[in-house]
Amino acid sequence: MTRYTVPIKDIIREENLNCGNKAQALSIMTSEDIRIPDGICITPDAYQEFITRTDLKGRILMELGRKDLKDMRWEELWDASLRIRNMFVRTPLYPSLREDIISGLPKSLQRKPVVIRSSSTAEDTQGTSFAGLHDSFVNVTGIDRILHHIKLVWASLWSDAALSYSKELSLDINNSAMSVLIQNMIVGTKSGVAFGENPNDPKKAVIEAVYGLNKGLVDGDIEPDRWIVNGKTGKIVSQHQSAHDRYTTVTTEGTTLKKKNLAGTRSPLLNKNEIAEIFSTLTTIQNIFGSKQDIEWTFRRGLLYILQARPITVRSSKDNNKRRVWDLSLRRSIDNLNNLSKKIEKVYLPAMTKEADKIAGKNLTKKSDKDLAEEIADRKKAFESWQAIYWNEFIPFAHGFRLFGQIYNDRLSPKDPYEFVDILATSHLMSFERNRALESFAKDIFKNSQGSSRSTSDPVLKKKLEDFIEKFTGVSCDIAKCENEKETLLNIARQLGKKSPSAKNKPVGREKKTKLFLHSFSKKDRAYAENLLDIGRKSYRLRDDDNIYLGRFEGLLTEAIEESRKRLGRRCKDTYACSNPEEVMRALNFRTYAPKAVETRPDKNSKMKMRARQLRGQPASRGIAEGTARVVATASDLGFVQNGEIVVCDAIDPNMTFVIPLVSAIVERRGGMLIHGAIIAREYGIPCVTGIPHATDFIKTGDYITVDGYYGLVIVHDQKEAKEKRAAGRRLSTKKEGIP
Amino acid sequence: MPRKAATLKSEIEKLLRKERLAVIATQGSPYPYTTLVGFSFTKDLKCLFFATMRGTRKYRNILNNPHVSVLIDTRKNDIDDFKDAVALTILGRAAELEKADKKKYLTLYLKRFPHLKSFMEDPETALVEIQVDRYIFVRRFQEVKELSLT
Repeated sequence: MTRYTVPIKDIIREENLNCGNKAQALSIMTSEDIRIPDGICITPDAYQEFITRTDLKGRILMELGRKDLKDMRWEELWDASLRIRNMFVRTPLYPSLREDIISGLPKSLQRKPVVIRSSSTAEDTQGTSFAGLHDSFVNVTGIDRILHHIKLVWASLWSDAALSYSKELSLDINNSAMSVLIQNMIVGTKSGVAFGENPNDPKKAVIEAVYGLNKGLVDGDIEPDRWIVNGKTGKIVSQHQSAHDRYTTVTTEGTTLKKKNLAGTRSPLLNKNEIAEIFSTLTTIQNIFGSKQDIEWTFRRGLLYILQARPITVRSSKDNNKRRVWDLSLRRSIDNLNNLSKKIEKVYLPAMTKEADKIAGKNLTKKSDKDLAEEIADRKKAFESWQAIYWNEFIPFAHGFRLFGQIYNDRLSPKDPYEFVDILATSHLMSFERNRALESFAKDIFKNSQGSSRSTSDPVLKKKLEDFIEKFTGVSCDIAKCENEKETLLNIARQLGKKSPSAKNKPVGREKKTKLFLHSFSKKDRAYAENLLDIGRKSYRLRDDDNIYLGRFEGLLTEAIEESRKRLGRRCKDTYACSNPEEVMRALNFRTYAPKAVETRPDKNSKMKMRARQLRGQPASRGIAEGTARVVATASDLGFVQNGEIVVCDAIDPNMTFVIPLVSAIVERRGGMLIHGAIIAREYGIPCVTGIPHATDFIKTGDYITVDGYYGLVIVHDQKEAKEKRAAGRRLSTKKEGIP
Repeated sequence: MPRKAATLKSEIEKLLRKERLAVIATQGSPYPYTTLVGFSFTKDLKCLFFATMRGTRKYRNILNNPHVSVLIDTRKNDIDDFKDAVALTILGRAAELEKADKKKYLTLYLKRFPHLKSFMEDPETALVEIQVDRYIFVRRFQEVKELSLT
């Protein structure tokens, strides 16, 4: 035992030592002669000392203070968590702490592979715990790698999942702490879990088993063999055998899923004696703790090891927050992402194109009012059904680049936690292709008209415009078709024509960084690293392109609504109501009905005036810009955007990307570092701040604003300041540092 | 984050109720001059009051220039302040209350600071009213909202 370490067996003897329930349970079991892997616990004091002495405490606090955690979207929580994780990775253990941990680590653990597990002081208490909040690492060898992973476990006290449960966990900078277990790695031939109580039948117990390590089972990647046994006698009631086609095994560091040769794997994974031994140990553990338990176990060389035990009520805790459950389901393993990738590429995207082409081929002008109403219903249904697939399949796939980013940061400890985006952005994004074509078209207009605004009636110009629309109609809802008869597109093109070519962000050392990343893995694991990079790139590209694919369905719906608006004429006084498909359909079916909007109540304190002076969000793309705000609420606002203005919007969608080469910064309500607006801003090298609550309420078109993309701040200047700034003609040029 | 003026107003009122001391900055020459005062306020948030002797530097400064700035905050002098502390800057014009008004608002002031009764009875003590022009509400280190009353 040292100041900051204690052998697992001694934890229960030490008073006032809170190593978390996981460590406590292991200590109790070992004192009762249950076989567990040997190891030590690094006390929570080590964590507290580390964050206090290195000033991490204040930095974490500042990160968490950006916004109420409850107001953050999952992506924002992930971003906050990533930044905190990087702070831990980049902060060295100071010498005395490092020496203390090393001297507390038995020599056997310093040489052999170990498992490094979280044991949070707030985790696993009855009714407040939800599985998978903090990180554990399997198969880590050598002092330096162990110390590195200790910091990663500490950082996971602030994981995105933990942050989303911060209230339930009473997560707090002063009182929350993390202890770390370092245990001998037991490479079992078969492993699994056992539950003292079957959720569907409390009188029965359940045993599940897989080949190799139980990580594949716990992560949900491998289907196990399952036995339902009598909860009192252990007598087998039923059994289910799985495919036995894959198993988890160790690699140089960590684990990997491998395919298994099916020969000789047809019989059940556990024999009767083994089932009896697991059941008997489970019963002993339940007697020790006096409650039904959920255990993890493994067999090595015929010996049964218990890896973990916890009260069954913990795992059965139900989360009624559906959104949060969904958010947490987004964390996917690389195998899961590989499958998702194939499905999206081979099935969904071709099907989307085919269906959208079919809808686009219909002639709306020839339809009767009633048929047009039906067409709107069909298009709405198509949009909604693809939207559901987008949520359930496309968004989870976006986890691919998050997973890549996390591993990139763990391997290379970059100063900027978003450096990995440079490596992913090599992909050819569809929206940039469109923008390049639009810029080229804009130059043609400018050349033909010598900069003057020519009318849309000019036949040469008209033809060029139609050609452009024709070319890109297959990939998106083209704004010219959906809104204001091409005028919007022309306005943007005219502005673009006057502008010098957009300075594209060319990240420095992209190839070098890619090489560094790949070579941070051993030759044996290089294929895994390449797979990770491939999934990262595909998911990054899809994050952009999927909006465009889905946007096309939304565009087709808008097109049908536009046709209806023309027909409804005077009945469409309320523009907002006439964008509601239900209202429009009703008006098409009933000749006397006019679409209605919901009334809003006036603010009672209307005499008082409130204004935002400074708004805090996330720094999504670096740089500083000052300029006039242009609030973009609908696609029709796009046509008014002027060169150098700052776009303020709820969320950048594919239609808006046309104007990005014109603007000097982006401010967005939707938060996140890796959302569409942030990606495109970094690509064009302009500042971007995301996650500003009610951005379009607090900032009005015409306001003079400063966007600070370093800190994530938007300053709304008052009229006096704005006048002075405009008079001085002061515009800070966007600063780029070659990194997002 | 307060989205409406009414919400912001009630947050400001809550803060004014909770805190009793404020830093007031008056216009000195050449330096601005800051000092700590006990304050009370009217429910409509239009006025703040503090007491001072007429011989003080801040009283003299106010006679020369009535524009003042007041700071009220919830800091605990702890690291958490950078996340949790709220600060309110109040901009307004200060002037000593005349006899009739003084009587009216003295009760309000003494309700908050009953231990200052003898200080308030001193003929040299003035009750100063600040007519608020604007509240500037800061939280989360850099999030700033303004509420104008005029």
